[in-house]
Amino acid sequence: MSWDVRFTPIVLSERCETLRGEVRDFLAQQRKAGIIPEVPTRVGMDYSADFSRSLGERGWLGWRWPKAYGGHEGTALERYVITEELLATGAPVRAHWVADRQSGPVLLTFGSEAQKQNYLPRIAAGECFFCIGLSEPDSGSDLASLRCRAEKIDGGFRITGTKLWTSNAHRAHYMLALFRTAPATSENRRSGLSQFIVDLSTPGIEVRPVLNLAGEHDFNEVHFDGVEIPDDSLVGALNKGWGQASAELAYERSGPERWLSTYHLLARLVETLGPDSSEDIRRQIGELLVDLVTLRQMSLSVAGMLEAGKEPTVQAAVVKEIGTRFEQRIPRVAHQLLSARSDYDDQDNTVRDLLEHAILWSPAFTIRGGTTEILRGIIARGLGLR
Amino acid sequence: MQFSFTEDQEMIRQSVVELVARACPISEVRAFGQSGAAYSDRLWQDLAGAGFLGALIPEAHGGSELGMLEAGIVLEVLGGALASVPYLSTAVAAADLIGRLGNDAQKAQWLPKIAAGQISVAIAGWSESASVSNDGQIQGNWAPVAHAAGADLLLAVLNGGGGNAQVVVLENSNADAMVEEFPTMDSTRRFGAVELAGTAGERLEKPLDPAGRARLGAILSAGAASEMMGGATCAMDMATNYAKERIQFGRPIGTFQAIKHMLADQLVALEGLRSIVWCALWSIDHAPEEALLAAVTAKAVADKVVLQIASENIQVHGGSGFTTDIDAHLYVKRAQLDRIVWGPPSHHTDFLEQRLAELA
Amino acid sequence: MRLRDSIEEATFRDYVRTWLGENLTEQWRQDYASLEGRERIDFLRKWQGQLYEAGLAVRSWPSSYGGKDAPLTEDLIVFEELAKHDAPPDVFRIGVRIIAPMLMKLARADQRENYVPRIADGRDLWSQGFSEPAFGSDLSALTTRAVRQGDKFVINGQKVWNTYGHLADYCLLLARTNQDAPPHKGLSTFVVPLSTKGIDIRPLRQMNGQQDFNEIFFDDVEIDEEALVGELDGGWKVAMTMLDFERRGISVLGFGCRGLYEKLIALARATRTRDGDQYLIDLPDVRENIAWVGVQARIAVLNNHRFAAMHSDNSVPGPETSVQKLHATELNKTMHALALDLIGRADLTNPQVRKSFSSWEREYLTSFGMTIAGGTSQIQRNIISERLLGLPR
Repeated sequence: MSWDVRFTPIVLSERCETLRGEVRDFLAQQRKAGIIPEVPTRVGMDYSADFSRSLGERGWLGWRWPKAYGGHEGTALERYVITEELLATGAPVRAHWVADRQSGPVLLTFGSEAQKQNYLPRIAAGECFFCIGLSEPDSGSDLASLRCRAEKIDGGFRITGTKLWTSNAHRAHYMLALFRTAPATSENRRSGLSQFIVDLSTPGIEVRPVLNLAGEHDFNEVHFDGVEIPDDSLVGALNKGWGQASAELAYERSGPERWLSTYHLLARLVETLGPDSSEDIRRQIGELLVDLVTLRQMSLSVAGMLEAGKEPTVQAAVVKEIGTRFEQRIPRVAHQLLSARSDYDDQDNTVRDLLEHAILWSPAFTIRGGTTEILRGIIARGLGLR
Repeated sequence: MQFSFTEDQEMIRQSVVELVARACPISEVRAFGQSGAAYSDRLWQDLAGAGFLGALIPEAHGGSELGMLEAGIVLEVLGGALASVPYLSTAVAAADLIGRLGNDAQKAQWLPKIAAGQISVAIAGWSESASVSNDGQIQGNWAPVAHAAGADLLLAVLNGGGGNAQVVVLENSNADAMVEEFPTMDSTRRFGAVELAGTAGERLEKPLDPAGRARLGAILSAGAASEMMGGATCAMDMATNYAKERIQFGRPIGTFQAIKHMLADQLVALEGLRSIVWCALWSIDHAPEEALLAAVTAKAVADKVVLQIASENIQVHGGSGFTTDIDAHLYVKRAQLDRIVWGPPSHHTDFLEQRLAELA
Repeated sequence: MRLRDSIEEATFRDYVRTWLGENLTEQWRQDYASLEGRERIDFLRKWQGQLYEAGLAVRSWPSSYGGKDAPLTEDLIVFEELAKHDAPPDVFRIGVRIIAPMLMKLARADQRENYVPRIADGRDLWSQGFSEPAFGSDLSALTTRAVRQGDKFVINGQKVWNTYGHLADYCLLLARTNQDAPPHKGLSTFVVPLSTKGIDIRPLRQMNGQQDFNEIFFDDVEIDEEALVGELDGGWKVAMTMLDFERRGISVLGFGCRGLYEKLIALARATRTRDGDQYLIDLPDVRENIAWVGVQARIAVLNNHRFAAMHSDNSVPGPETSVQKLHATELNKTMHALALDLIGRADLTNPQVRKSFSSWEREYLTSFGMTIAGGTSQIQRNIISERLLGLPR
């Protein structure tokens, strides 16, 4: 058998638990100050530049990075604990999320010294926000087919083309993007791609909102019409961007945000149903909790693998595949158990508001960051089937 | 058994399909939410002109005297087009109730207007907590009620004592005062929250006995299931067409078995739904004692299958499925409301409960 | 549309019920259970003859072949009533439901006259020789060859999953007659008497303990050139026609699902949980699961009737049979798995329950074969998506 997809159990250190306590105290204060809602009525992460900055001030961003770049040289498991607490409480982490989770780590691994000095400290301070420039209208699951190109000009590159699904392009400072810098060869359609940091204040970049089905502005279409960026925008090696972007995608897939999106709903559901619930209800909630606890162990295990310097591509795909379908299951169960109750249509029924928002967002979980179908293909490859 | 439609019924289907395609283009569906209209008037008038609003109305009152199967065909096509017209509540449920329970004057007053597309009706169905006094004053709360906002008439089904129900008709002039807008994620229809606090209306002369209540329940469940089935068929078609056209990895995504098998399972589920929905529709007119169970079973299957197909349509479309740029989201939102607007999501355990009762 | 029996259909159904009540007796069942192998086949051969004499076996066939020119709906009534009476597996179904209908459509007149009537009344038992060890789902690439030599064909190769071959009189063989044409254009079908010299039949043990199917080895087997069915190199069309009939034939399992539902209810009502506290039928998740499969069983019956009405009675059914087959066989498997789940929660110290367990065990294991035979569920999904939805290959 050529596959070895293991999830080694992790026991968190005392340091992790102490850190957890510190994060919880901080978040409790934030709730008291009204910065985080006591009772979330929406799923997903809200955007607050102020909150991101305050986290940066507390030293909880750039956790694993060298101190020389503004980081704190902490462990992946410690970072996991911080992340978990932030998500479980509904903290508004959207603004810094991408930069801290993936853009920063890409720069740390592949960036030049100047790039590391320029961006990493600001990301760690919660002052510098990134968005992801990968998908295009004709290149979603088939990312390698992307066509947005960066032509070499004197002193830099000229960008022409369109990126799509770029969440927060309207608010971020920079985009970490993958562009085509040379034609693909017939042997390797992934060659000829390069990674760039694009300063979104550069003239000629047009950001058009694309409303999601909840009527919210999150996605954008970003159009580059001969936009000129300097040489030092290139990250890592020319034409070797695919490998760098793959590493980036692995970071994107591995965290607890891939199964915690509807966690609040589960918590509110249990609270609302109360201790005198029927056996049938207890069984259904029990089944959800079994999955929750298991996913958490698997997710921790992936963090442990990152800590050990491994590349848990298949494991991360497994966790995301199971986790996102779990995220969708919670609103289904909640709807079944809550909608028949007599108080469901009351004006002040905030759990209903949360449920309805979760229902609207549900389809996104198994699409964003790699569809379920693509993830299963990755897992199949890990099993030696492709 | 002869489980197929007649040629006449197939012609009716074809005719409705063409009518709805002309009168209810997707552009109008998309714009409906912003329009402030109670329903799509043009489509309503076209349906009236073609005789479809009179499907359950005798010719003497301007109807076309068809039947529940034909009404089900119309509902299916309307559901597929995401049309915003109060067909089920007006042309089906209300027409049937007034025709069976009304006296001559009541029938003459309302049925021709329904057939001619001059009035719309919303149904406030049986509610345990609603009541009507001896002098006709109604107390009760209903939400969500489809097409209540802007309806000309409201038909309330109330406890009449002795196992019977009474059906009371309330006029529009009262209606607006009683109906609050109930905004939902489904922008293709308007819903209302109805509150009656002592409002009086006109009682239909005959009471609605248990058999009549069962018939009404069957009509609403089977009718809703048929409409939902139309939506699911269009959602599946949308996903199938996209899978044929969208190229990734150098080939249409419909060549990947993950997509093929998902759509194949949808077709199997939809064909199963079709069998039980048509059985329910047929039973209403031809096997009334079995109709309610067949109808709630059909609705229970629809509640599950339709939402799944609509959701998978979004999945097949990937990121674009999650935007408002394409229409996949409309089918999901509609399916969600369909699950609750005709009563809470149905439960297929009724099917078993009945059998256990027979065996006991 | 009419979803209940017409007067004629009701009369016929009464006749079928009465006949089955008189002939499919407890004694008959005991006799059947006590026999094995060739004796059991001869017992069932007699039964097929009785069904034929009673006018139940092949009603929808043309009268020139022993049928009654009846509408397909009467065949469905027979299948429904057989299922309700728990009739044992129909060993003659391969000939009756797959081979004979194909012969009636595609064979020469002399072949039709020779073989079809003898299939109808059980005089001949038929099997299919299609799949090979290396070619199951990918059937058209098969390699068993039939080489012309004078007025004969000489067959060499190996077939597998050949049901009843060890007891059958004939095999309908699919073999390669043209090495140069594209794979599916180089095949032909033949009637092969299984007593022909050079044929070696070896049984395979199934996971349900039975040995209904075999490997067949062909070693320089000579058959007459008249044994060719249809056109030379036109065997794929013959095979596909048979598969269309086969899928519809397997779908009668849907009628059996209704009986399974009743059995599941009976099982849940009669069985207490291991801690003795409750009957299984009182548990909400048990009710939920049984109700859902009950609804699907109702749907399976309705599907059979609705799909039968899609084509004129004697035409070859279409790809919609894949919908029926996939639905009915997967439902059958799900229902058996549910039965084991229920029994698994029961008190097995009770001998009655243990007896029930053994019987359900066998049926459960058998259910695995149905989602594989006649084209696996995965192949059915490919057929549905490609031929019904038009998705590209």
